[in-house]
Amino acid sequence: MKPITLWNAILSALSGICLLVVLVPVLYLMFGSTPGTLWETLKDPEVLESLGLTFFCGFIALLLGLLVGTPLAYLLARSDFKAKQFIQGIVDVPIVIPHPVAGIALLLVFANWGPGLSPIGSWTGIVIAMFFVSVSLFINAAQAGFQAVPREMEWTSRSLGVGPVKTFFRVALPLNRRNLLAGAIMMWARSISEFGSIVILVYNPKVASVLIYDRFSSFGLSYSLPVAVILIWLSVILFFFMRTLQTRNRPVVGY
Amino acid sequence: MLVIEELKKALAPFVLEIPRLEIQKGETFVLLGPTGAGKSSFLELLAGFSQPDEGRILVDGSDVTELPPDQRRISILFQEAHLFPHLNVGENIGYGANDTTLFAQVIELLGLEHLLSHEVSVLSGGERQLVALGRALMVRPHILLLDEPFNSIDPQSRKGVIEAFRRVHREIQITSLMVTHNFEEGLQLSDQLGVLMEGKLVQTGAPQEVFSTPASEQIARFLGAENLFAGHFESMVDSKSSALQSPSPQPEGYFPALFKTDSATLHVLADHEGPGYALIQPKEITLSLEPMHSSALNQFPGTVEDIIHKGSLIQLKINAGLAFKVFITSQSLQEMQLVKGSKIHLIFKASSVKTY
Repeated sequence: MKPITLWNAILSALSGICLLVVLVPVLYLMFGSTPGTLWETLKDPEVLESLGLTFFCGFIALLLGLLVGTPLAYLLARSDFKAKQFIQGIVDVPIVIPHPVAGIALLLVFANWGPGLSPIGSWTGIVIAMFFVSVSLFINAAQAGFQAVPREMEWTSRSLGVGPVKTFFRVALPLNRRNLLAGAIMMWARSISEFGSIVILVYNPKVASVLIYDRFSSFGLSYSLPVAVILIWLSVILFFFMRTLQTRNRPVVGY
Repeated sequence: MLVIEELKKALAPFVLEIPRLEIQKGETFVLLGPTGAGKSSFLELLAGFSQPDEGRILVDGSDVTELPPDQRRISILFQEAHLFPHLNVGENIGYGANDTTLFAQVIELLGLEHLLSHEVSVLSGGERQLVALGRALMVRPHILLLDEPFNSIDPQSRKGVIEAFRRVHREIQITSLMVTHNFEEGLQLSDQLGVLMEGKLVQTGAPQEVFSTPASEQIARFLGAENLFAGHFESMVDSKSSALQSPSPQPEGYFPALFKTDSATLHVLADHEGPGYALIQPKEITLSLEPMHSSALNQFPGTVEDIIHKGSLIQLKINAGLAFKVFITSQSLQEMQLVKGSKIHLIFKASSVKTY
């Protein structure tokens, strides 16, 4: 066994504090309800509907993010143009503004849209809010991944007679799959945990975070707790599964 | 055939300018230049990864200057092989190919049969570069660009890889342009040689011509190779002459040989027969006023034609059938009382002659 040096001891102690601060509340929450109460809560149609809505909207927001975020990330990684710094700034805006502010901004955009068109108060609004607050995480991860693929890889493909579109799908995308997956996990996680902007734009139908808040402010802790417990269990299981998927997709080292 | 006309591109420290360059069909042109001379930028222009400010690039008579890289029929090999890590060796080789009739020939030529189903991550540096070469050849390029392709290969396997490249050039007769800062690689592969310095093509010609008569002091300093001669190698392995036994063990793959030029015959160790180059570094040459009995197989009488002072050393130009350059100290010059026209003997060992 290696001798324990002072330096290692300091590293371990500080890391331990960091982990504890995260882990203790999560563990409290995960085991904060009795199985009986959880079972009762799971049978509550309002809870089921809310959880379904949350994960569904998160998934749709993610699909949209993949569809329009991937090209933007690729452009930012591969092209040099004057407005690049500016666009890079725009991408990061949702990360730096408070989420209720994001909700108010979206509310302003859609305030004058007619009934039937306006996403305010509908699941499309939830998707838009989720997309707005989370797409930056995906773009940043995807961009870093594209930048890590040597330019010569794509040049080689082009010089072998393969056009830009095929090169993108046959070289750039597969070589970046690890970062794309990581970015997607982050984006989805951010989406289903979003509260601040959604609560302003779409109070009803209620996503899980809004339902928990609603029950907490109307009926108190004991009524909101089981929903929170279920949400955290679902999230932990899902992300554990996705992280496993991600490590399996580790790219071959060395190009 | 590759023709470059009035090519200009502003790079950060200088302007890359190639007024005219022609590479004949099947010929290998080696462009030598120090690091940062613009060699890689030049290849990027040719391959279509960047656009020239002015000028034209013609491949087999048609102007490709405006074409995207995938329509130029110009393949490129970089320092690193850049194999696609998500594909195995066979899939890499077949990556760009539309017709696979060439596959068997390419695989055999490069000796890659046993590697086809391997992951690329298990290949050695040399194998990776051969796979990259195979992948490039599969698309039947009209021009092959090589950007210091042997740099990332360890010295032990470099010789084998260079030999494979030579085999390819013999068998497929592909028009190639290689850039490198290593003049030995240049000598081994080039039909024609050019020197690029700070974006300017400062000299072109046959390899021996460029090395023996550098157009400027700067080029001579960069090339750094004195006493380079073109000639023919003839093996002496079957000869019974025991005098030709090399006193030191021969490097693997080398055999005693005669190197014949129009005006002289040298004893050397060669790794091939036929046309080639011999290089004798000035420091390997011993001067003597009298003929010497020594183990060195090469001894030539000559005449001092010029004496040039270069700092602490003095360069002698000696005509001994071949024109040699030799460095001596000023003390030696005085002791030997050498002047222009002095008769002198040059002595060097067969094993001190580098052969290409």
